[in-house]
Amino acid sequence: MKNRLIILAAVSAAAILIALTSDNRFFIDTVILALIFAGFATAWNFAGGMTGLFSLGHGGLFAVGAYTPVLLREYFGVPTLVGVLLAAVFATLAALLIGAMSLRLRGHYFALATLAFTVIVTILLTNFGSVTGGDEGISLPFANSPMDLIFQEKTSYLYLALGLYIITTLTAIIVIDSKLGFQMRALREDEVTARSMGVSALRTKLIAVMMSGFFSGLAGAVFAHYTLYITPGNTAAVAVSLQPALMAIIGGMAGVFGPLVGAFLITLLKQQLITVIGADIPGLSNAFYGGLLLLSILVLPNGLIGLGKLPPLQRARNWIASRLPPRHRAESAPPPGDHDSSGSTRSTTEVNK
Amino acid sequence: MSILSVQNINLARGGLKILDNLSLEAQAGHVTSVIGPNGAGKTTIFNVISGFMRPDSGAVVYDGRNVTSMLPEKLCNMGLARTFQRVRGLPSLSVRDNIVVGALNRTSSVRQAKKEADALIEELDLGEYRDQSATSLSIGTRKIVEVARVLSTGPNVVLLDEVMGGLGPSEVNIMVEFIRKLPERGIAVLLVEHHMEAVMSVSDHIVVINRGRNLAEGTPTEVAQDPGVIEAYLGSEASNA
Repeated sequence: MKNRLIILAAVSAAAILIALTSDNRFFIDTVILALIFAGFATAWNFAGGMTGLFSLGHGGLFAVGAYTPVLLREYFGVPTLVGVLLAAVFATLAALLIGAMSLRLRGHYFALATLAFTVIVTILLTNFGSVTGGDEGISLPFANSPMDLIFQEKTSYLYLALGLYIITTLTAIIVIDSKLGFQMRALREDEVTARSMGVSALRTKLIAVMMSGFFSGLAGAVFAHYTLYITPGNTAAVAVSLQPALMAIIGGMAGVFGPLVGAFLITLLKQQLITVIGADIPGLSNAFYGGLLLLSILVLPNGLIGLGKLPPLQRARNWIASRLPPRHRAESAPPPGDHDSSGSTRSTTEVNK
Repeated sequence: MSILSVQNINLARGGLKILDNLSLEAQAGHVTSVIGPNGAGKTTIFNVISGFMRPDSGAVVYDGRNVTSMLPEKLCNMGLARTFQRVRGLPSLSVRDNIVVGALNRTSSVRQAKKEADALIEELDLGEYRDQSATSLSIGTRKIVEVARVLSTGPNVVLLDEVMGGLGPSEVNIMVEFIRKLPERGIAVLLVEHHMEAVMSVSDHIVVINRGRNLAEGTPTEVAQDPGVIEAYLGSEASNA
């Protein structure tokens, strides 16, 4: 837990440093989007990585989060800050639908059903055009009004996105080492065994998806106020729905920071691809993601964050560890002549921590 | 007074009667074994007791309460836990984390659960496997971990389903010694087992079932001499001879 808090502090410091020093708008834009999606992917990971509920329907939750404060303000004059909170609440409730599916469906079937969920949200947003603006979506009027979460300065958005990422990740850090975290992992590993050990499948799954929904909704709300333009296509579409899963897989689903790594990589790639080749060959970026996903599953089953598990790095780490003065190592020191297994187990526990 | 009493369970799938008026009891501090030929319904009755299958009729009474068809997790919370014939475990978690999940059945404190898990690991001599993933172990060790996992939930009744299947002779001895010690903790042990030698040496009471029905029961010696049991296992010619 302590190590994770240190990493989170370092990430935050780096983001603040960028906000303070950089005046490259394109770069700051990338960092903001990456942080929003890192928050979204971390939210996804409560269900997907930690509990094994591989949802492809989180685009629907993201859209609920994006549209709620905008529509509430437009039609009912609800203040944006209240609207953002309600966005998270509504997305939490919508996530219960995904949770209900997880009680009956497993694996691929669950993934497909959740995919249908996001498609339904897309269709609803498109067809209730008189309220939602249909395919063309809604543009938020630009005004420098911090209470509406609309800022003149890009750096303000960077702080907002960072705030979103920090609260999502803090929650993840607390949950992963808690009783709930153990129970979520147990369900992910084997539902029957977990239940036979007293883990309530119903309760644990619903809590996991609700946490996931809450932070996905927040991410959607922040996204809406940053881009100032939301459509079914950039919030609920299948392509958006796949993003957090893709980011978490590529970054690594076991721990807390995999989604962050994946989000930065994918966002950078996306920006580069769109500017460099995307305009000429639309859809090429999807082919890229597909290839990346395949590659990551084949070569890096634990994601980029699991790179440390690969033998050369592991050896390097063992070598460094052997040079350092022994700290906690003494108590859990492996029996002599068992170097291979000791190496792999140490990194397993580290990834899982 | 038996802590677990299974009364007249019936269960049919399609036209096939899998359990036919089956009854059995388990006492605290005793090892009760359920034996019978393949397909007799041993694992099925375990599934019924542990809440994974719902019987058509009959009752499971645990600690004076009717717990028939209660959810497995609820039963485990109440102190009735089981192992699985095909060792499942939580594959990619470490041995310690497997046991921690069980210990969390009784406490909300992860720190406390870890302490209990470490104590159990110490007691069962699993220290060298502590940080290995459950799947990386030999089958013998996995079966021990399986039992440790169940014990960690703090049960009053444990259902052990074929915990000796696939074990070598020395491993069977370790397991037998281990099971013998369970009643000392005040636990009622219900054992489904094919390894006859082990069953005979470890059981206080044996229930023989065949085709979902009670066939015989008694002490190991009584059961071993029962003509009906010999017939069920070896066929009628053998019992005539």
